[in-house]
Amino acid sequence: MKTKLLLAAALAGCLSGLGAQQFPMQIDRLAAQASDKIDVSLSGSLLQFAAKFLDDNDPDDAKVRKLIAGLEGIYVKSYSFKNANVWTQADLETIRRSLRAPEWSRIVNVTGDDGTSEIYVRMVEKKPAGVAILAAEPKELTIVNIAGSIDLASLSEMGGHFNIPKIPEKKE
Amino acid sequence: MDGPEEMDWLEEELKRALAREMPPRDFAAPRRRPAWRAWVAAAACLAASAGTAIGYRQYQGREARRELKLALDIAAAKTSRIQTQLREFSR
Repeated sequence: MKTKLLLAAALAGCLSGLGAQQFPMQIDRLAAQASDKIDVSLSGSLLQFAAKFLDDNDPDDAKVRKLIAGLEGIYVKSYSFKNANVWTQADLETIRRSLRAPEWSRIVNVTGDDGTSEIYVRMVEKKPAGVAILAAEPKELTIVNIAGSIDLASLSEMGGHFNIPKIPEKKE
Repeated sequence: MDGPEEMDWLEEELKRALAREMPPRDFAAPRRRPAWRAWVAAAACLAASAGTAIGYRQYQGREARRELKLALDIAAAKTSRIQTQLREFSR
């Protein structure tokens, strides 16, 4: 009985650790080595709460409100490193293992000298239910999970609109 | 200067200062404060607590809004970057 309770507690702990994310995003090894970390975890209720503080008179805020309507959560983990090549292919594989068919489909995979970028879409009952972005650059690794349905084209248009300090983008 | 007369005077002063005095008759009687004072104090406490709670909620809301924009900004930057890379590859 005691063992069953312990197992149940451990399972509950694992599930709560995952939160409402659609796949495990944490890579402890990289988190320990990062010089700068961004960790945003907004569940559905927090998204609704944040939306209450958006100003509809502000065009950017209005766009955000439209974009997040129907979302169930946004989770971002971004690690910056002082040196290049801190992350390995094995680290990326750890993430990729969770993003497999039939639930997840990789729709974009761009690999170049400056790293790898991948976009995955999660389909549930033939409807889009989530997006995962895996962006690995020489000195940066970013994992994004957007739970719910989002228009990627609209999201892309928002890039850099908010003037919020963030990990600097590499200029093309 | 510090002769016996001076000492006597000091002694007398000390005796007077430290002399035992009987407390007033109502010393141990319970003191009643007007009821309105308690109500005013309670109302002030309540108002202060409510003000703090509202202020904290506002702070939490602003933080949630900031985090939301940060998350969208990062996601948008990555998506935009991927789009640019795709355009370059397709050329």
